[in-house]
Amino acid sequence: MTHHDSHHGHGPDDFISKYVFSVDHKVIGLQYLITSLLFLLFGFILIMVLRWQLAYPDQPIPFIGNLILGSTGGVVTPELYNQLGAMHGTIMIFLGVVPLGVAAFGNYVLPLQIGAPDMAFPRLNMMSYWIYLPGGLLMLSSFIMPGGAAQSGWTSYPPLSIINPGQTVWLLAMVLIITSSLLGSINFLVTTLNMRAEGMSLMRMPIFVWAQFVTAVLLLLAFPPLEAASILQLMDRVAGTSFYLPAGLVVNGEALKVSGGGQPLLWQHLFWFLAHPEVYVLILPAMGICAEIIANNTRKPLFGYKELVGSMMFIGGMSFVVWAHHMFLSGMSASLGNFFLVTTMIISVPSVAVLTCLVYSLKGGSIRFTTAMLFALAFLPMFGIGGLTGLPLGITVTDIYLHDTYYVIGHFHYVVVTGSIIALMAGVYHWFPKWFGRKMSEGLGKLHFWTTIVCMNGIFFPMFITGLAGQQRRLYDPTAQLHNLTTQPLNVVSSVFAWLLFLAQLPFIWNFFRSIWHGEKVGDNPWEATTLEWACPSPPPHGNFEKPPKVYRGPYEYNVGKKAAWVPQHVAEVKA
Amino acid sequence: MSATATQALGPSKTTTGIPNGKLGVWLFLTSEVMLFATLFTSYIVLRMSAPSWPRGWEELNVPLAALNTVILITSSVTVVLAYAAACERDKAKFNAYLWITILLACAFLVVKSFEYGHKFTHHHFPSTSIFFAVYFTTTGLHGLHVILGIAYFAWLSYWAKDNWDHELFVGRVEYGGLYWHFVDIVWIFLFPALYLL
Amino acid sequence: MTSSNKAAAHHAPDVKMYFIIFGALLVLTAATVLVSYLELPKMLGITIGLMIATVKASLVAAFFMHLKGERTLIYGFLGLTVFFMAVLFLLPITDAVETEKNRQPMAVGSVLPQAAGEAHHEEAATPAAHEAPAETKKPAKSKKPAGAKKSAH
Repeated sequence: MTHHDSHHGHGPDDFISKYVFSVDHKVIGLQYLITSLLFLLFGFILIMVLRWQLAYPDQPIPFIGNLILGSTGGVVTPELYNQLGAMHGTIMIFLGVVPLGVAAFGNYVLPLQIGAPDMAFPRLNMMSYWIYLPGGLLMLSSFIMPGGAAQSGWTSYPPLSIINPGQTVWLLAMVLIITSSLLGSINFLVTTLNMRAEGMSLMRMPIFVWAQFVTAVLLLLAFPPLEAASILQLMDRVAGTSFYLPAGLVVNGEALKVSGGGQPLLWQHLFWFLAHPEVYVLILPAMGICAEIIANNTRKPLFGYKELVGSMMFIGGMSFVVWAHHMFLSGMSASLGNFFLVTTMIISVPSVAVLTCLVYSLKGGSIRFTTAMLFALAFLPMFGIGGLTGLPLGITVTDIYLHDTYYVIGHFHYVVVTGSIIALMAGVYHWFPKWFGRKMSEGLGKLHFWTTIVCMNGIFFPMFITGLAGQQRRLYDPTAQLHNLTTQPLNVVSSVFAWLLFLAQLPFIWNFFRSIWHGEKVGDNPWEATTLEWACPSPPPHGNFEKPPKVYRGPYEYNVGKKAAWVPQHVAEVKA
Repeated sequence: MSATATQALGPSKTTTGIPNGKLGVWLFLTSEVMLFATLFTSYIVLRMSAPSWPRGWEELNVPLAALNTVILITSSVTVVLAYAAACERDKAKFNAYLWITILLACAFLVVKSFEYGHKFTHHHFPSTSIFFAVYFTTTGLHGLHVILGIAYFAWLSYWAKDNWDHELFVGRVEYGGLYWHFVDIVWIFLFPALYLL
Repeated sequence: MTSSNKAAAHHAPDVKMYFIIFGALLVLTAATVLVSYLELPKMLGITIGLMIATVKASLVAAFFMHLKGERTLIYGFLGLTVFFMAVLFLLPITDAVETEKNRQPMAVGSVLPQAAGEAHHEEAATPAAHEAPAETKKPAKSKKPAGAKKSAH
């Protein structure tokens, strides 16, 4: 028998079990961290190439053009443009932000914050990562396959996605990625429900844990429909079925030889059934991270703990009934459109509630402007802009004009980039000391922050203007539409800021890796935080806690009453 | 704590009192419900939007599928009897019922292969019509779940040899049973939906 | 040994009940097959078939999966799933129904290049079995020139 109750259980000895096929949630969390950051970088490079084409249509890329696009003389072709666009979206969402926000941060921090020795299913956890990585690599490999990568948008609408090259590998990779995600979400849910330390009631859990919990429910129930829908699309591509292909389709002047009888709109419904909850999967962990950092750096409890929990649960539930606001222009009836309009308006309320609670948490706080806090503070107005710009998109009549314009791109990048990614960066600065026992440089961090936030706004704010002016999405050459000629300079602005944003990440990459070995050493709790992940060494050993912690109070007892300045959750007595 | 140690938490050691494995399997089943619900939704949408759609018995072999329904239901009974035997610590009964379950599941697949074979011989493929696309894909995915179930039970019977007294043994029998009953329930809906309507 | 005893105590499998349920399931299966031989109209057939299937599934879930007497948390997750499943069913189906109601027949002939010249003389290509859109209030099989289909509504 290999099992026993000691929390100092005998860890693995060999390199492969320790660092490659590790079942330790901390190692797996770091694996996800590095992998997802690399995928984010790759997705970023794709868009930098694409943005050259948008800024200077049909002109060869200078210096490196012939190196990367030799066959076309350094020019981005329409086919490559479509591949760049589809893959940028896919990689950023499914291989970048979600694995980073959920799998990396969730895996490392969640068990620690509830006082658990590991996840409920450590081997399943290991399998999740080792299904995600091949899925991601398969996705990337599509670039070098005949016909190139997927080029029908990350939304993969049929019939185009059935007849276009590159889609089959996309679908197969998605099946792997979805499987990885499902296994992970089961792990998170069972862990959160079953592995809490004694005294850690649900209403004493940190907001980060609640956010991950709701996110896991969304992933569990919303992803399977996309998996099934992807199987149907795979059947259409590979087995000649017509789930999404209506009769009478003509491709390049020839009638398509399929049985017909399919419904393209069926895909749209099934895709968006997942893809809308997916956007809350993108934002909820970010909100959770900001909540932790704000509480810690205002030295006071969060405003509205119960309201935050309730709002996040309400967002989670509502997220399943709003999806067709992505389909307002698909020809659906006005009554159905109205239904989704109403639900979309309703879901904006808890989102505002969360933002309000976080903003109100600043009131009366004694703010410590660490790099993590700067990023977390920036999240607030940025998410505000992102959320507000979503409203005209959620209202049917205004969406008629704005749908498929750059306004949409501006909106969702504000939420995901200046929202989620900013929050994820905050999380890196905040938890880096726990992961590596050293701090990142604050100087480089602040440089990173200011350059990043300026560049991000520089990229995406002009998109609201170009969008309102009528520039459509996914156009290979914006100047082909004459009304875009006036706003074309704004496309150049966005592109230049995108390239500058890349440069702005270099200090961060340097800071990150240098600090792992040469950063300022820290102890268990450099931020003087109250939550349980700071009650063990940095980094925590195998099994995390020397003995299982007991929890005596809520997660944010900073300056409460006339007791000590801050009281960790696991400390029994309060020293005055 | 080693990997098996964290999974070894019995009912008394988890915060909710539900064993990790049981909660995990039920959550997995909820995701499977959504997966098959999507296929049913697609079937309904496609059928309602179609100008015409054959009645199930016009194209499919109802007697064979009815036989398969009986086979699967019987296997559901035998697997829960295997669980009962495991609880009663009756090794012989457990092995007997488990193997009957596996054989019945294989029989299901054999009957299915006759059905499919017959269709293929008559040039009915998934690409033939939207009706057959739905038929083959839904029963095919269900069949894949049957195969995975057989694999699990085969592994279980092998593992049971040396681990009859393992702390997780009875649980793993139960969890396999839960999965198998779900596969049965899917067929309970699939059979009338495809064959009888 | 203790936790497996706990498991046994937790569910105390009632073998007799399993056989009773087995019997019920066989009877219900026979019933659903027999009903299908009546070749009832579609809506009635669907309703009866669904009802029988639901009863069968409930028996399997309640007794074989030991849902009867299971913890509230499991019920909670199942309830949530059933709710989202209902949403997944209802809304796309509603869309399909509404789209069918609003569907305009297409002139298929005009789509293929070689038939472009004959486009104006082709009748509306809706298959005969398909019901005409509600607004036109014309018999389904009536021939109409494609051009006249620009209905004002």
